[in-house]
Amino acid sequence: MKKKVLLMGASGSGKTSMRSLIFSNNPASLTSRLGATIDVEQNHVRFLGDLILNLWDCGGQDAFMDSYLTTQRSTIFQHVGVMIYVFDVESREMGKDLEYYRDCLEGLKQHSPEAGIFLLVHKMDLVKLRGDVLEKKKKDLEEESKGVGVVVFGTSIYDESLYRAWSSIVHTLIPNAAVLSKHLTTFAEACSATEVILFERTTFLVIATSHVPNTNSTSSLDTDEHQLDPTRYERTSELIKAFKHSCSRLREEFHSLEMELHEFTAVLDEMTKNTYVMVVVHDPTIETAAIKMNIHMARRKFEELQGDSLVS
Amino acid sequence: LKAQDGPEGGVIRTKILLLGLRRAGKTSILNVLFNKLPPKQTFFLETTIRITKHTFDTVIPLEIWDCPGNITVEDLGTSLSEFSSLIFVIDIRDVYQQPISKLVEFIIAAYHDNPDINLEVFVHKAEKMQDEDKLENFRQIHERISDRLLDVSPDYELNPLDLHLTSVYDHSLHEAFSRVLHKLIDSLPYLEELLNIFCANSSSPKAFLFDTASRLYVATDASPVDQQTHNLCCDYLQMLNSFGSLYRSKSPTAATRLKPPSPSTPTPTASSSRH
Ligand SMILES: Nc1nc2c(ncn2[C@@H]2O[C@H](COP(=O)(O)OP(=O)(O)OP(=O)(O)O)[C@@H](O)[C@H]2O)c(=O)[nH]1
Ligand SMILES: Nc1nc2c(ncn2[C@@H]2O[C@H](COP(=O)(O)OP(=O)(O)O)[C@@H](O)[C@H]2O)c(=O)[nH]1
Ligand SMILES: [Mg+2]
Repeated sequence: MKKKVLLMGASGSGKTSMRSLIFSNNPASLTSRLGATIDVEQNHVRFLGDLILNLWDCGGQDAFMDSYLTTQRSTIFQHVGVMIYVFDVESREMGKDLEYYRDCLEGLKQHSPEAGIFLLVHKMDLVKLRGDVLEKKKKDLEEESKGVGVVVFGTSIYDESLYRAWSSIVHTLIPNAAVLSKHLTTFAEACSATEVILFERTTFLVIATSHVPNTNSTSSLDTDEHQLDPTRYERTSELIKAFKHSCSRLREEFHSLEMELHEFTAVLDEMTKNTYVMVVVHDPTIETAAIKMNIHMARRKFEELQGDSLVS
Repeated sequence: LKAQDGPEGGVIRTKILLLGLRRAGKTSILNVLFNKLPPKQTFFLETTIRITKHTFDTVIPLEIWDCPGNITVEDLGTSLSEFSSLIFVIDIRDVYQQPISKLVEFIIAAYHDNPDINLEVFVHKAEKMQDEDKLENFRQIHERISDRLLDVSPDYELNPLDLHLTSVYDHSLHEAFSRVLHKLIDSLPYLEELLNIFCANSSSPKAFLFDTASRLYVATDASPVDQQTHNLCCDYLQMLNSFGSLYRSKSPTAATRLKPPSPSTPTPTASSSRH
């Protein structure tokens, strides 16, 4: 199954940079060497095996934008699964940016009315009062979108915010995300785990997590009870990507992790061909080896699950 | 490795004197090593104008004296015999007279008061230069210090001087400081021997014993330290330290209920496979 992802926004807003961070595992420090993208750079990224993300990184210089909106209009805007529109938070031409944005919304409405729309207010590392700035931008952008449903994120390539935004975006493209979540919850219960998280293998974006049950169950499967850090998913993605990068500098391939810390144990290991799983356990009586064994035994089930739902 | 009780029940701290001209990077070094300051933020540190004593609890309790650039031996207000090590920081681009005169002045005084003091030189901000120039400047600095000491008296050559290339922007600083620390740990030979045995029995190619919070290694086995491997271990500890706070239970009730039955020390482990 193929999903077309349009990556649009003014030149220099950071589209190619985020693509190279998420999909090519390049460090943020190297993005300053990227040249402006000429026309459209298309990439096929295999994501979760059968799901193929067809990324259209659309160079943002005016001449290209004008052509996307006129002669190339139907090619660009048809069959779009998701459009990600990137705004540089410090843009000095916000008026023009918004005008192009509105035109792109028109194009989508005409050719792919069902497409999901995500707006990234990018380079947030450059501003001081992040919360306030984002709130204001969010309000403006929602107003500009004139009733079209959009989701706004503040992002930066220098912290975990980029992983949060992209995880949410790809989550909408995975047809069986809810089913995966349900099975992860069952698996977490079987392991006496506080939480289980499933990552895509190359990007380390979060695909699904076990639920927090709303019942006042007495089982240890209650993340609410532990009040874990709300930014943990995206920060885990970022930390592991950074460590994978450190390993690659030594030409070592990252394989798995077992962390026995004072308050919890975490095991990160391959789940299926295309995913990694992380099991977090707070109960000190659960042995790490048991967690590994459980992951091993869950593998077949998850391979099946993934196969089933993706062909549909 | 137990901290010894001092006279008033306080711990006895090993004292280290940190010297160098102003803007050489002394305060940056301390803050990056012990206060988790991101290297880029060192840019905003203010110049140190009076002696500041910092206490840090690594594997041994330390007291490091951060001194202003223009300090003299008299200004110290105490004898050099108080200190176990003297670290002198030189900006790698500064191959000229001034810092070297300052260093030589202190070495001579130390030779008089405390001939056993460990003399360490951090040739700092090394990331700013290309490899070739870097080694050339390093060599020049070393040569000039030796020449100046020989001029004063041939004896000084006997006192070994350890030079390290360092930068706050990579793990070279951690490695250099680890080596400084090794000379101060009395039980080092036993620890090294234990690690040798560990490597032999587990067929591990390399073993480091780390102080997790500061990411300094306390000891390693007899095989040579490969810088890349050391860097990877530091990166790993950095990740581990960040992970701890992400999944740590913040709720007091859950935390007490799930306390381990016996106090166990954290045993971080990792594995990665070679291809
Ligand atoms: N401070 C900061 N700079 C960023 C961030 N993301 C990207 N940049 C910088 O922005 C510059 C432009 O990035 P690109 O990714 O080439 O921009 P683009 O949107 O692909 O531009 P076109 O291809 O011309 O449309 C680069 O120098 C990046 O290093 C960010 O989050 N923060
Ligand atoms: N390039 C580079 N700059 C450094 C390094 N360490 C410190 N600096 C910079 O050197 C300047 C002076 O540092 P500071 O610690 O205040 O020096 P002090 O006066 O010796 O305490 C600051 O601007 C630091 O950012 C380094 O390893 N590399
Ligand atoms: Mg580009």
